[in-house]
Amino acid sequence: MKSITRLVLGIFVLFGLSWIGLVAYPYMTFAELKADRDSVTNELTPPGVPGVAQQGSHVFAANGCVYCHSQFTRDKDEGGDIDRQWAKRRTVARDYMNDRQVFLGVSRLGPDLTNVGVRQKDTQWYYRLLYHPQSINPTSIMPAYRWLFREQKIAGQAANNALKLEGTEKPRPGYEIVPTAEGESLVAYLLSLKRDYNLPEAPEPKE
Amino acid sequence: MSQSSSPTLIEPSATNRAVRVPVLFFFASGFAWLLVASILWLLSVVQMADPNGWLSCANVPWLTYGRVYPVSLDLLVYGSASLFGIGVAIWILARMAKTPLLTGWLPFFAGALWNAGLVFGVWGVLGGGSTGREWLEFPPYTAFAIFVAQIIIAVWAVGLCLFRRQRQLYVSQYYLLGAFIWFPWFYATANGLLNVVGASGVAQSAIHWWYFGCLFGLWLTPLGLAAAFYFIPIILDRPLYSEGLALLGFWVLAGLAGWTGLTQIIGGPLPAWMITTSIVAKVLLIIPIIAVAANLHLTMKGQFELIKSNLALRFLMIGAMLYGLSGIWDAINAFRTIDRITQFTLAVSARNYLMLFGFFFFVSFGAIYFIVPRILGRFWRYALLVRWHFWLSIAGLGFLVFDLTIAGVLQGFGLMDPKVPIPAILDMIAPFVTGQVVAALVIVVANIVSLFSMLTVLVNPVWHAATEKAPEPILDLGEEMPVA
Repeated sequence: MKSITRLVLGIFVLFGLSWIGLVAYPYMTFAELKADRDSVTNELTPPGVPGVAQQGSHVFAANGCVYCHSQFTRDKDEGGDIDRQWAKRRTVARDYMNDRQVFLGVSRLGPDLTNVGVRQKDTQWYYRLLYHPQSINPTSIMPAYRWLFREQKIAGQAANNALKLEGTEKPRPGYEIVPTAEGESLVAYLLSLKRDYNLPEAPEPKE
Repeated sequence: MSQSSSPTLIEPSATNRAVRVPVLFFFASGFAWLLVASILWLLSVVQMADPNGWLSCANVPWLTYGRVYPVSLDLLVYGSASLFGIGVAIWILARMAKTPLLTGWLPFFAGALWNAGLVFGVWGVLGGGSTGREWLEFPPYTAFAIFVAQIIIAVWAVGLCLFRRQRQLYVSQYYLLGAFIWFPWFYATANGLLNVVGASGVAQSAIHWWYFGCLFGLWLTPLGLAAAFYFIPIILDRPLYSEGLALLGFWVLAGLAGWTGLTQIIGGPLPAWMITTSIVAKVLLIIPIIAVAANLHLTMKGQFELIKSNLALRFLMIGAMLYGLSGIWDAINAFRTIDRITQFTLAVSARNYLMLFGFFFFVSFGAIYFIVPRILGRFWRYALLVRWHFWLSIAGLGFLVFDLTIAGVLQGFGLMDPKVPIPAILDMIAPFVTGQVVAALVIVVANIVSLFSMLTVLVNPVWHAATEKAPEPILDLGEEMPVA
């Protein structure tokens, strides 16, 4: 071919089709999703996400949690997600409509986090996991996130969110380990990961 | 074919002199980033194998796995692979345009901007400013610098094709123009909509994985194929078997590659048609692969033994074969029955490494080994280093891909079975995660050898063809233009 105009035109048009289909179209349609109202509880589904959890999603991003943890579950015939009881149903677009940042993830060196806030509600558990993962599970390959915590002098009573540590992990006397604001928001984010409500477009699969 | 028959070729020609500074600048910074990326990548692989060892750097947040690993991959793609590819592209485009290059400072300036973007990108991600989106971790402000650099290079490339003296456009120019127009487009789209404007909900995921498909299919692939289609015929001193076949491959790639990315999230919370379209597109990408393989095979026909003596050709040809291999792998893996097992496992990394360390770096190194002596007027000093680079790369890559694939399949079957707890799966793949350290170490050593062999060129004196006898040939030389 000798004409550069035709070449450049072809380059634009052919690529533009995928841009329309996978960028422009989802950009417009997913902005228009509306929450559902549960017929039994009369609550909005999915529920809103608290602001501190939205902040925590940035901590989740900054420290690379997504390289080992996914946040979506596939249908029963597409993998072991539901059998593993990570979820009762597959996740659909509406599950994420309130998330400012969506991390589906492509790696599962650790468990899926779609519903981690349903499985584990104990804040202290999350702090101990982040501070010393092997204290929760001795064979875990999760790295420790010590910089999400700080040591502070106990002023009068011990802080509510101070870590309950044992053995060599124990801070020096008169001091305690507490999560930083970042650590707290990350745990708030993890606790907010609950997709245990019903959505009409994603019924629970029959056994 | 050999220097003695056309000795003047080694002397830097006018075009070579004109593009010398920008091309060398891109190569040099590409090598620098390759070194940084290799070390960080090795560190991340060691951290994965030994999460509580002293290298896990638990008290130094900016050196922890969650930050080092993404930075190393980003530097491999946006640092060395992209900079090598652009350097090679500048040389090809200037050569093919057959026009005096008056604006060599423009790509040089773009390269400087690009490097600045990378420096701040590394700083940003290690410092805790990662966007947390795979392959797009750089904070928006550094992405902007890289975007401006892309635009400058795109304008320069289109300009060079507009003012060309050679009327006929060669297939390499197609691929390069495509790559230079597409990359700023999808890079700006993804960074803008994900990290600046903020798309809502899973629109982010659609855009994010669309971007991933584009990054590999419409940036790295066309850059690599342009080099393969340019240098292989030149070195063989015969025209490409069929330009029509190469163009067919180009147009199919242009139409399909943008749709392929969503195969990464099969079963994800997106409309079924999007994911099915992605699967179909990925399988159909077999067409350009067959076109490329047939074309290069028929071009090579009867001269395969040259691979033994000509090291640049060897890198290029093996790279092109690895393109085919990674594409076939991709197509097979796209089927839901297979993907259901390999999804979320280390097999995903195996494929990315095959594409990156295999196809792209092999082709780039072949081109670099061809270009650098011509641009400097100096020979490679030690062919042995180049041979070591080749065999170490092959051994490391082969072991890495094999190791991660087995690990991925084991991990995949483990994840499918709800009775196997996650720690048991990790125990199962632990030996392979350790094996990955060995493979990565071999690849990193290979990369360091390539850097070293690059540096030894500078030790050799400039060879004056008019007065001196040709030294022992290391790399065969051929005609300058591949078009018959």
